[in-house]
Amino acid sequence: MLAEHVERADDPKAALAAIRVVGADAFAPYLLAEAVFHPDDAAAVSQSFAVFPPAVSTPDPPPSGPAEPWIVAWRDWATAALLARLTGTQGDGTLAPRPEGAPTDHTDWQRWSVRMSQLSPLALPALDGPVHAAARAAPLALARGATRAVLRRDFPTATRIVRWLALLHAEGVRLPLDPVPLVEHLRLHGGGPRLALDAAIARRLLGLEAP
Amino acid sequence: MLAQHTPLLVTPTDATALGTAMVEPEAVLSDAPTYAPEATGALLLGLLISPKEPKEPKGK
Repeated sequence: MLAEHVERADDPKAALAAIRVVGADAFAPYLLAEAVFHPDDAAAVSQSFAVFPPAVSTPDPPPSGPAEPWIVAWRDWATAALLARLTGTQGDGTLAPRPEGAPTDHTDWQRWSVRMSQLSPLALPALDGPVHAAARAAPLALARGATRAVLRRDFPTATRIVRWLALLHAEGVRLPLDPVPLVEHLRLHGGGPRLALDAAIARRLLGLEAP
Repeated sequence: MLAQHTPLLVTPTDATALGTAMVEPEAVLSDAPTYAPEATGALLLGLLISPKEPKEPKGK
C-alpha cells in the first residue's frame, strides 16, 4: 500500500514527505485492519527517513526547549518503532531515537490537550510509553480539550484529541464522556482527509468498524 | 521503486515545510458561536411580521 503510493506518485519526493507527515498512522491499516505489510512498504518508510532524515539528537522537552522539534521527534519515534515492530527488527536500533520527557502537567488543560492532539499519531494500540501514561492519567483533561475544540469548531484538533479518548476507551479506562457520539459528530462534519483518517482510526479503536 | 531511481534533492525549505506540517497546531481563531442578546428582538420581529401559514382552499 505505501510502496504503491510512492510508486504511482507524480512527485516521489512529495509522496515520501507525505509518509513522514502521516507518520505512525501510515501503519494503521496493518494494525487495525487486515492489510498485509509488504517488505516494499517497509522500504518506502525507510526511504522517507533517508530522504527526510530526522534530527540526530533528541531535542530537550519543553519548557527547556521549543515544543515543535520535540513533537516531531516523538512522532518520528512512533513511526520508527512501529516499522521495527512490523519488520521484526526491534532491538536493532530504530530510525529515530525516543525523546525524553512527556506532557505530564495537565493543570493548563487547554494547552496540554492541544499538545496531546499534536501527539495523536502515538494513539495506536501497538505503542506505549510516557506519552500514553500521561493520557491515561488525565482522561478528564482530554475530555475537556475535545469539548473545547468542538466548541471552537476546530474539528481537526477535536478529532485528534478524540483519538486518545478512543484509545483509553479500548483499554478500558473510565471516561467522563462517551466518545462514540463525538466521533460520529466529527466524522459527519468532515474537514478533509486527515480528519477522515483520524476519525476512521478512532472508530476502529471504539469497535464501530469491523476489521 | 520509482523513487529509488530518481534523484531527490531536498532543500532546507522542504525540511522546514515538513516540520511545520508535522506539528499540526490548533486553529488560531475560534469559530465558536457567540451569544448575541440583541438578536432576540430581530427574531421576535421576524416571527411577528412573517405571513401566516396558508390554508387549504375550500370548495375543491
